[in-house]
Amino acid sequence: MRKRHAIALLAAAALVEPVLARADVVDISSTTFLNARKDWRDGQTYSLIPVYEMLSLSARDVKSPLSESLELVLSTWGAANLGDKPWWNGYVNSGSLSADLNLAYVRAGWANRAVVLSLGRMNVVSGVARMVQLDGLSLALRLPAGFGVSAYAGSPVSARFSTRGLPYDANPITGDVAAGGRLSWMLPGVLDVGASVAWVADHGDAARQDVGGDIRITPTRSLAIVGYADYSIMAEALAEGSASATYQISRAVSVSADYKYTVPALFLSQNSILWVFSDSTRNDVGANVHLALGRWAVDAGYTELLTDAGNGPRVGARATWRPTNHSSVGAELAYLDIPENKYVYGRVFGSLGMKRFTATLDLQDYSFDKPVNGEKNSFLGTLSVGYALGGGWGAAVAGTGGVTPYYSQRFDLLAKLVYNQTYSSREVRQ
Amino acid sequence: MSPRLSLLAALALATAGCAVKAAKPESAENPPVTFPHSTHVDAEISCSVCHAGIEKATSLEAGKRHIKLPAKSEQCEACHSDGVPKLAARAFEPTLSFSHAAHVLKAKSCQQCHAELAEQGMAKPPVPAMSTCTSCHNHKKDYAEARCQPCHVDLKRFPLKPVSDFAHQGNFLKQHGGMARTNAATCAACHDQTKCAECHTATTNPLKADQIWPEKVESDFIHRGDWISRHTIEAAADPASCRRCHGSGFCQSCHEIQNIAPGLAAGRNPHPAPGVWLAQHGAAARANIVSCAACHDQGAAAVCLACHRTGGQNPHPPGFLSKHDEGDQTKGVCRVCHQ
Repeated sequence: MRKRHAIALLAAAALVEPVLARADVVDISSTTFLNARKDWRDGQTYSLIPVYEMLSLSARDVKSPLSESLELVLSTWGAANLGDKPWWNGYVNSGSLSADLNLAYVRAGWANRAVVLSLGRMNVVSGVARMVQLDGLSLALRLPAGFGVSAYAGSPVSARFSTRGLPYDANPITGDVAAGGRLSWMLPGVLDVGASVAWVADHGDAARQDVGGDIRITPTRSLAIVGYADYSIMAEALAEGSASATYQISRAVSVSADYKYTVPALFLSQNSILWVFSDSTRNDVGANVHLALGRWAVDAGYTELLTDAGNGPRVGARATWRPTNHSSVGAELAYLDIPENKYVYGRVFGSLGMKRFTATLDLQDYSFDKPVNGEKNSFLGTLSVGYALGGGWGAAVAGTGGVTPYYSQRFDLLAKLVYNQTYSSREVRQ
Repeated sequence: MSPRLSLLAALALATAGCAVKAAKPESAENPPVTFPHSTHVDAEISCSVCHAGIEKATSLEAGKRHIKLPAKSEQCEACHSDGVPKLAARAFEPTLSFSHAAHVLKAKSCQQCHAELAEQGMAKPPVPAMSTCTSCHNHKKDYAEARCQPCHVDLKRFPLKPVSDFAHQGNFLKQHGGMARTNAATCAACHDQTKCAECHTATTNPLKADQIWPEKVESDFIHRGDWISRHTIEAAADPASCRRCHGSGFCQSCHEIQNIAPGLAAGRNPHPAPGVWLAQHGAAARANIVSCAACHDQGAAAVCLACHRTGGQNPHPPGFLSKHDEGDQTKGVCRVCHQ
């Protein structure tokens, strides 16, 4: 495991260096931060002081004889815990060091990007792929007459390069091999329709065999209708279906309506013994409105959740006022009522930019109907102050405090140093 | 090599890679516009007096404004008796590929495209809207296929605030998945996957987004704030939504450390008293099996099978057998019980 970890990290770093030197444009984002907090675990609290380094690189227009457009994208992080009993989110690991790769892919295009090949660690979103995070390759072809084909194959990503597949996997696409593709046809500006397939195997057993269809209709520039269906061949049932319509009445007003059908059991890996125990279905029907009135933006939405166990509403509204280009004040209200519990949520937030300084305040409160860990209320407040140091560098400190069902008193501290810069080989100034 | 050394080596190499390419200085803050176009337009001074040679320019070039003020002109001296003031340099990079040479002679006038001109005090000169281009050029197919290059040099570097059908407003958080599913290339015109990865690499990401960016108070982070206290409610409201990003191992790794996972010595039992739970668990599992999977998804070792193997009570939902006959029992998941 350690050796695999080391090889992967070194390979990623070795890949980066020569490509950066040949790229026309390189976007770099580095965030180094220290996060001092208390973790509640089984009735006790532990002091954690993890230090993280998160690095993103995107190198575009890389000069290469192999491709007319070559791109490298990397997103990775490493961390060390300086406090008690470390634990890293989503992974059974108690070591003081941890690191992982979120993305590391090379993308090459040919024939005015009619052919695009990606290789490495990536996300695949098209059709019924369900945003699979994959180590592998994907190919997209833009064909004549509006047709297109895309395909992918690889191994679903495993946290910290641990064993792929098996129930302990943190990846929702549980398996050691995954493949799929989408065939599409487009009538430019009016219709985009696709048929897709997704297949996953876990140690020889089929974990997913789905086919699906998707459609996007834009009869006018202001109206978009999107539909989607995912059929599980193994369960011989529709796993998911959705439809939505968004109408932009004017630049100031847009409205949308949506419907979603899901069978949650069919989101489990189908080599899990559990999916054969349930066929409960869920239906969500909702509508939203967005208003942009000068320096005001207002969003409001209502969704009725229809489940086998009972129905309930999810309601939310948010208003944001931007008195200047560098400041905002907002308020948010939400209400969720389902048979298991219900809550009322209130939030106020604001940001104020003054030259190089930015300050933000965020206050959130939940009031639960049934107690959560014996408490009916949760309050958190976060105050942050940031300073633009110049040259793409910035620094920020943030403190979060409050009283929640799991913390009678909570205080977290974050201090970070950020570097965001674009390097370009093009001339900048005369 | 130890993980500690490998991590340090990787970061050092990555940093060295950055250093290979000499950093360009950030563009200096440009001063506000000082030239009053309206005064000169009102005085009926032709654009070509100052922009001589623009009709030969085949591309936009960094920092090159195609301004060539006349050395001596009666028109200028009528107002500028002390000589024509010099214009301050402005730093800019072209965000579009555009040939004035191909357009100047075809246009009725410069104002046909440049409807709004730079005026004193403006932070930056206004550029023609994209609708100006599409009033003559039909880019319907390019637009639909998100082929923004070569007109737009690099939308990732010079992003535009999207309007109409690309606008990220309203309930975009809920809608963006459906849009990306049908045409991911459209998203890729402006965003590379590092943007998606901020939320969509849950398997490898170490923290919630609002823990990394607490200052982004206007962002729609779905796990904002005290997520731990409400995660069971949200999971009951939309269990499929959790499973789009998180596998059973993600839930279980935390539940184990909280000592609420099965099989742990002196584990905390989140269920009602055993007698009560025995009567309730079937309905609870039927209603939300994803909730069970958060702790009990161990395949053939799952606690469910202690009672529900063949010969015990049939755990399948009504109608299950009509879809899955004995022929299905060759499948791995069926063989766990039906051997």
